Amino acid sequence: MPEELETIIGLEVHVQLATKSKAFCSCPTNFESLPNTNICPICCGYPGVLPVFNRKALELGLRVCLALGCKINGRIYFERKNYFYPDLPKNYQISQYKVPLGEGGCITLSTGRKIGIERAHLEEDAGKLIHKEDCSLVDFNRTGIPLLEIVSKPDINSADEAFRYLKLLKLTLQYLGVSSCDMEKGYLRCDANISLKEKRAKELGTKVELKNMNSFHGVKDALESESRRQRISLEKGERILQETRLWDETKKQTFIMRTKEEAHDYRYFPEPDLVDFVIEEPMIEEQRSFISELPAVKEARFKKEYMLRENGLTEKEIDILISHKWLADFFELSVKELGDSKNIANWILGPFLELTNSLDKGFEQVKITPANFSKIVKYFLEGRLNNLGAKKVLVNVLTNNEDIDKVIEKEKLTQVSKEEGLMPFVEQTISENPKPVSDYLGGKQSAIMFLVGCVMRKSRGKANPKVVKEMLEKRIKVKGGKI
Amino acid sequence: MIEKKTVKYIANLARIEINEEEKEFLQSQLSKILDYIDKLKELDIEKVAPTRGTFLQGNILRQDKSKKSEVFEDILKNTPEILNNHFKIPKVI
Repeated sequence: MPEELETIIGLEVHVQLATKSKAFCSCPTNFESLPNTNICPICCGYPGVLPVFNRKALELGLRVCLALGCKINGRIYFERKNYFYPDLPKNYQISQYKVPLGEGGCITLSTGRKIGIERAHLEEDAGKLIHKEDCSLVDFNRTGIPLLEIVSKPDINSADEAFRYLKLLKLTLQYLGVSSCDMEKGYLRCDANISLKEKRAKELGTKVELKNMNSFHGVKDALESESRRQRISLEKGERILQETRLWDETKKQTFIMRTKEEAHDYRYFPEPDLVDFVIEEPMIEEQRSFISELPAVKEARFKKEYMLRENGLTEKEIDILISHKWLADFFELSVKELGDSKNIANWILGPFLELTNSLDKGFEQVKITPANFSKIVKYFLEGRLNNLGAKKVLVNVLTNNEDIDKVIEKEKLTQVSKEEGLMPFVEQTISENPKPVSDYLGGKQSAIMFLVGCVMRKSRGKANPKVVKEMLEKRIKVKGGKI
Repeated sequence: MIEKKTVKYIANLARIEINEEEKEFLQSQLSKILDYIDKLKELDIEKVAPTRGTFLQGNILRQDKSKKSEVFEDILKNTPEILNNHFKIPKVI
């Protein structure tokens, strides 16, 4: 019986850096452009052209390296990676090989596990191929867009852990503002290396490279499937071959990719068209200043400050709040105004997210300030607005931050709590609904809520439901339901 | 003299097809080029640090400003066949 097998995974993540122009030429990086309209002699590799590197790409790459705790190489240069394929008009990709921008560093998962970073290097993207029935089509719009390739150490031990690593890395990149990480648009891509070894063995097993996963769930599924395939092979006493396999999302299986017999021969050499770059201290300090509290740290602090207390938030609620830096900031600023984290969280996770999710540009369109938002919650808690009224105000001011008191005045949303104003509605409701009234008298507690709803409708949502309920209870009990 | 299989290997990496005759021709021609370059081996560079470029006066970087090329349409026109604004090529998968 063989020893227990352990899964060893390393991930390679390519992230498109959010620049306006390409890495080595001024072509726009706009995803929506018509195919082959963001191309020029430089990114298409015409003879005699000269690439000039984009400062922003260097800065954003540097920011990521610093955030991941990488050692920054003080002097870097680019190399040419040579291969012939139709997505690469120059027949070489400008990349980094011997000296990457950053080396070392790590990401700490909320489970406490540290996943090491092997290296992070700058390179340019290749073009996009579309395969048709009888031909292939090439779009060079993506060619030359700056990428940062982040390679993890083989520290990941399960598909689930790979998923956690990717989620946290993506969130970190989003917090840093270096990329939107939109996987559907290919702004973030992931390849995986996976091998199995006996637990006590020191040497790694033969690794298989997995490609063609289009989502984090795809990566997880592919790793699970491949781990199973390798386990079955090894238990049968077969050998694992070093190969590249493609994930088939519909068949939920990996398939061997048609590969060359020989190993890749990229013939790297220093890019002669670009001179060395010196990463100086001022640039490092400037980029460091853009790194605010990162998601892993924020999560730990949120748990400490908002979860571990009476009436605290749940882990799930905190997960959602920190899933977007903007949202986490908005939450904390609102809490600072009102001093009530539970109610602010309830209103953000409920009505606020419901409304912002329906906006085209999400939080970008939100204009309401945390001060005004917390004011709505405050009015609700004080009883000046009922639930419905508060939501109406929120709808009105979400994208324009209008004065809340004016909106309440204009829409006549002030909650009616005075009994005189509500009495006619209560009387009407009781006379119109003899059945629920007798149900309630007969002990069916829930019948009262139906009656409250009727009064609310008659008051066009302005009544204070708590007051209405009390009035109904009193009125029914005193007169025994008789009119 | 480089080996014939090396010539074949390089041709494959460059995605070009060559016949037996061309293989022999390229074998002798590539060998001559390599012999010529090998002259550099005569130099004693023990004490010379590797150099990639001679200009080292600060970083040469450009601002991140985008501008459409004036000739992008002409580049696409250089292809024998266009389909939906794409370069149409033989199927590669």
